[in-house]
Amino acid sequence: MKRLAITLLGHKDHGKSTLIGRLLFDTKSVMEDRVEEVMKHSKILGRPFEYAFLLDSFEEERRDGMTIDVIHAQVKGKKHLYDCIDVPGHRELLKNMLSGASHADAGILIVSAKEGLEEQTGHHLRLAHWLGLDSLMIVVNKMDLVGYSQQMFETVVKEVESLRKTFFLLPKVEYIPISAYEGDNVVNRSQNMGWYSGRTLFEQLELLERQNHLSELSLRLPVQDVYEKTTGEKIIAGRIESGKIHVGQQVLFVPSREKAMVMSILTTNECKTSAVAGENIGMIIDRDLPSIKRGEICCTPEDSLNVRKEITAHAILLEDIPQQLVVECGPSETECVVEAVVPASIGEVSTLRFRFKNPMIVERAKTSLGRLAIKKQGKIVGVAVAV
Amino acid sequence: MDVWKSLKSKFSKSTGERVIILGLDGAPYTLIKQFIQDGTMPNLARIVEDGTLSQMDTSIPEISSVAWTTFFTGVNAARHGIYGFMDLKPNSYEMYFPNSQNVRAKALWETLGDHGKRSVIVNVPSTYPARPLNGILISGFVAIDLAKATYPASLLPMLERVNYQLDVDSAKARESLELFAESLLAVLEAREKVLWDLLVHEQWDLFVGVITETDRMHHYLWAAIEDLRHPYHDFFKSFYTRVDRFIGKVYEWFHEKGVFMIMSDHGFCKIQKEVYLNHWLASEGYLRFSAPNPQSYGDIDKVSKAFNMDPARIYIHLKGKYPYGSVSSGAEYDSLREELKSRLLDIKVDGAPVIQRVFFKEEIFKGPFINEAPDLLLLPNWGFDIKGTITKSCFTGNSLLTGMHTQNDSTFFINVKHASNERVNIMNIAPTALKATGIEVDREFDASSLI
Amino acid sequence: MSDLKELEEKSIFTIREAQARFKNLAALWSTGKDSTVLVALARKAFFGRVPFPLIHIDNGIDFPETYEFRERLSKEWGLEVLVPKSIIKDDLSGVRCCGSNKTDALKRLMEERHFDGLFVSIRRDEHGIRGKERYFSPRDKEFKWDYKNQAPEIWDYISQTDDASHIRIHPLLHWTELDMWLYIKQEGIPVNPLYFAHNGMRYRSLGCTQCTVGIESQASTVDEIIEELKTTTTSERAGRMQDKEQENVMQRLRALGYM
Repeated sequence: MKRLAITLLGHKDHGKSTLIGRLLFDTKSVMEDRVEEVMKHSKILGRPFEYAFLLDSFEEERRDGMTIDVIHAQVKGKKHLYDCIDVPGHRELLKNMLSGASHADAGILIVSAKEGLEEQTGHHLRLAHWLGLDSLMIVVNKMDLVGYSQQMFETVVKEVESLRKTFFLLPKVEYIPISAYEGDNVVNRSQNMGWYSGRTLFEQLELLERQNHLSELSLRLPVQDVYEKTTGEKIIAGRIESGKIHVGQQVLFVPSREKAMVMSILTTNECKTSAVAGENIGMIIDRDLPSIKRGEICCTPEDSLNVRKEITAHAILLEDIPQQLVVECGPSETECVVEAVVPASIGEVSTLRFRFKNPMIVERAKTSLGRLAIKKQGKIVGVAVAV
Repeated sequence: MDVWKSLKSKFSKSTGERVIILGLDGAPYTLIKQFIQDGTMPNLARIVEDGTLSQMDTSIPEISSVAWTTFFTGVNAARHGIYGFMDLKPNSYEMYFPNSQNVRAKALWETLGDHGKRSVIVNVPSTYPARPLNGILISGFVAIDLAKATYPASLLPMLERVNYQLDVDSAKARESLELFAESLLAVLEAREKVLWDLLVHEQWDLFVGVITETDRMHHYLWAAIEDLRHPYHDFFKSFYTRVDRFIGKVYEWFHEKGVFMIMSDHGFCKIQKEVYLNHWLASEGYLRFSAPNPQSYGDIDKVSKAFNMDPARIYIHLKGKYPYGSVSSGAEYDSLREELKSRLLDIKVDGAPVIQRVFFKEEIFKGPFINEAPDLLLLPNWGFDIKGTITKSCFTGNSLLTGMHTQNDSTFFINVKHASNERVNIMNIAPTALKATGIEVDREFDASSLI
Repeated sequence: MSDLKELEEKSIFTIREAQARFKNLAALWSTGKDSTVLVALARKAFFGRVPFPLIHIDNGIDFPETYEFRERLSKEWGLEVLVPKSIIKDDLSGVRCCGSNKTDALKRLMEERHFDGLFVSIRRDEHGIRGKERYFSPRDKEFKWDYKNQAPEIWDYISQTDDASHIRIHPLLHWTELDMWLYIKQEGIPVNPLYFAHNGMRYRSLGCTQCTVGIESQASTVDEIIEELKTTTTSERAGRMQDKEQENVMQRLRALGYM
C-alpha cells in the first residue's frame, strides 16, 4: 500500500485536529485501547468524546484545545496509507507548521462554515501554493453548527474561490461540506445534507495519485558523502533526485566539471546495473577524482547544468534576516548576500535575490536542488524555492 | 535515653549481628499486650521477657503503603514519595497506584546490599514489582502477579509448590465470613512455610517477614474481638495463637544469635462511623462535581477549592497544579488552609468531635517531594474512619468493615531489656537494623538508631 | 518503488546525512527489533560496515536472551559495542525503573566519548508525544528534549541548536510496528528470541526484566507475528496486562475499603 502524506491546513479552531481524529476513528485506524483512553481523558477534562485527543498531544495542547507542534497520524485507507500531518493554525507557530507541511504530497484546507474565512485561511492557501502541493482539497467544516445549510456552504465556497483566484490560477478543486465532529461526509456519507451529491472527503482522498515523474527528468545525483573502503576504493554516496543512472554511463560532476564512467552501482552490498530517482546509491567510477566530495552534483555530460552565481527565489522568512547569510541547497552551502525584490512581511511569500559567494547549483525543480534553506548561525530562519 | 544507651553498649563492639524483623500487619500494641496477659500468645509472653515491648507511632497517613515504605526507607514521605495507595498523575485528575517503582528513597536492604550484606525480604508491602537486590524478595501488598513479585525468578517453583498466595482474597468476606476465615488460615499456612524455608535454608544478614493476614482479619472481624458472643470471637483469638506459635518457633531457632524485632505498621480500633469527607467538603461549598453522580476525580468541577483522597488527605485545588485549579498560592492558599483547619476540627458526629488533629503538610513532611504531599492531613479520633470516596451521597455511614487503623498504637519489640517510656517511631527501625548489622551508616535517615 | 523500499530510502538518507554532518556518532542498541533494524540499515547505508559504535546500556537485569543475542550478532556483523553499566541510585527524582538509571549511564558515556550525535530507533507510532519528534532532535545538557520549542525541520534541512549537548537522530521515525516486522521478514534480519511466543507468552517490546511486560500470544515466527499485528486491537504500548493489573489493584484496595 502506497503512503501519501497529507497536510491539514486552515485557521486555528476550524477543526484540523478534530478532522484527523474523526478520520482515525471512522477508518478504525486507532486501536481500541486508545479510544478507551481518550474516552477517559475526555471525561477527566469534563468534555464529551474529543476526536482531536486521538492524536497524541502535549498536556497543554489538550487543555487549551490548540495544536502547538506538528504531529503525524496514520489513517488506513483501501488504496493508500495516509500520513496525516496536523499543523498548528497559529501564525506564530509557522516554523512548526512548515516542519509538517513541507513533507506533504497533498493538502486539505479546512474552513469553518460558522466562522467563514479568517486570516490563516488565506495564509495557508498561499503557503500551499508556494509549497507546490500536488493537490488540494477544501472542506467546509462545522456544517452541523449552521444547520447543514446549503446556502452557508455556498457562501464559504464563493469566498474561498474568490480568494484563490486573486493569487493564482489553479485547477478546479473539490469543495466538500463536512462536520468532523458529527462525522458527516468525512468517511461516511451525511444523512443531513441531501443537497450534496459529491464525494465524501475519504472518497476524494482515495482518488489521489502521487505524482512521480522524477525518473523521467534529467539525472541529478548530489554527492552526499564519499566513503573510502579499507582497500582504498572510493564509494560516492547520494540520493538520485531525478533521472536514472546505469553502469557504463558517462557522467559529469559539477562544479568540478570532471567526467567519469560509472563502473558499479551499489545499493547495499549488492551491485545493480541501474538505479532511478529516489534511490540512495553508492557509485564507483573508473578513476580516482579527489575533487569529488559532498556538494558536487552528478549529471550527464550533455546536460547544460550550470553553476549559478545568483538566483531569484520565492522565500518565506521566519524572522528578520540580515543581508549576509548562509544558504543551503541540497548538500551545498555558501555565504550569500540577499536583497528583496518584492518584500513581504514575516511568514508571507516574498521574492528575494540571492548572490552567492561560492557559485552553487540551484535549479527550478521540485527536488532538493530547487529548495533552499536560509540560515543564520546554523539556524533556519527562512526557506525558499527557486524560480 | 538510658534504655537505648544500654543497647548501644551491647552492640557497639559487635562486628555485626544478623537481624530478624517479623512484621504483623495492623497488630495493635494494646491488643498484643492483652493477648500476652490473657494467655492467647504464650510464646510472645515469654519472648518479651528478653527485651522491650513498646507502643510505637507510625506514619501519617497511617496506612500500609505509606507506613511500610517509611519503615524500609527510614525517611518521611517527602523523601520517599509515597503518600497513599493512590495518587493523581501530575497536572491531571487521573488516578494511579504508586508501586515500588515510585519509591524514590533507598530501601534498607539496598543499603545493606551495597555493603555486601544479603537480605531475605518476604511480603513487605510497597515492594511490588520486585526489584533485584542482593538476596531474595517476595513482594507484599499490592502485589498482583507472583512472577513479577518474586526475585530471583528461580524461587517461583517452590512458591507454586506450597501454593503461596500473595494475599487473601478479602472480597470473599463480602460473600461469606466462613470462606474468608478459611482463606485466612490457608494463606497464613503457606506464608509460614515459605518464611520458615527461607529462614532456615538461605544465607542472610537481614530477614524481614511480614504476616498480612492479621490486618485482613481486623478489617472485617474487629467487632469479633470486642464481643465475646461474636461467632468469630474464638477464631480471632485462635488466629493470634497460631501466629504466636510461629513467632515462638522462629525465636527459638534464632535465640541469642542476633537482633530480633517484631513490629506492626499501625494499630486498629473499632469503627463507630465511616466519615465521607468529600461529602462534607461538597456540602460546605469547597468541592463541586461537574457530574450529578461523580465517578472519578475527573468529575471535579473547576470552581472546587479542595478535595479529599483516602484516607484523610486533603488537597487544595491549586492553580498550576491541576488542569482546572482554582486556588492561587500565597495568601488565598494560606487562609483557605487555616479556614479548613478550624472548620474541620469543629466537625461532630453524634456529638463527638471527629477529628483530633489537623496538620499542614510542612508540619509532618520535609524533603524534595513535599510538593506532591497532601496540603492538610487529618488524624481522626478513634472510631471515626475517614474515607476519600466521592460516590457517597451521605456524610456518614457503615459498611461490612468493622476495624479501622490507628496511628499511635503500633507494636514494637526488640530483644534487649530496658524500662523506658521513650516513644518509638516507625522511622527508628531502619537505622536501628542497619546499626545492628555493624555497618557504618553512610546515609541520612529521618530518625536515629535506637542502638 | 515498493512501500518498504520507500521507508528504507528515507532512513538511509537520514543515516548518511547524519554521518556527513556529525563528527562523532554512536547508536543506541537495545537488541530490540527496532534498534536491530536500525543497525541493519546502517550496514546497508555504509555497505556492510557500521562506521560508528553501538551503545548497549547494561543495568545487569536484562534477560539472558538479550546478552546472548548481543554477543552473537555483534560477532556476526562485526559491530563495536560499548556496554556502559548503569547503577541503581538512591533518591532518584523519577520513576525507579531502569529508565532513569540508563540515562545516567548514557550521559556519562556520551560525555567521556564526546559523542555529538546519537541514533535512536524511536518511531512516531509508538506512543505519546513521539508523534511530535523530528528526525534530528537536539538534547540539552541534561539530555532533555525541549519539545515545546523545537527547531524547524523543513524538507531535508535541519537547524543547529547552540545549547545542545548532542543531537538525537531518528531514522526510523516514519516506520510503524508492522513495517518493522515486514522489513525484518523481507531482509531476514535476526531478532531477539524474546519476541517469539514461549508457553503462550511473548514480548512485544523489550526493556529490562523489570519494565517489560509480556503479552499472551502464540506467535512463534516472524510470519505469525505479522499476522497477529494485522488483527490486533491493542496498541504496542497498551500492555493490557498492565491495565488488568491496575484493575486488580483497584479491586483489592476496594475490598479493604480504600476506594
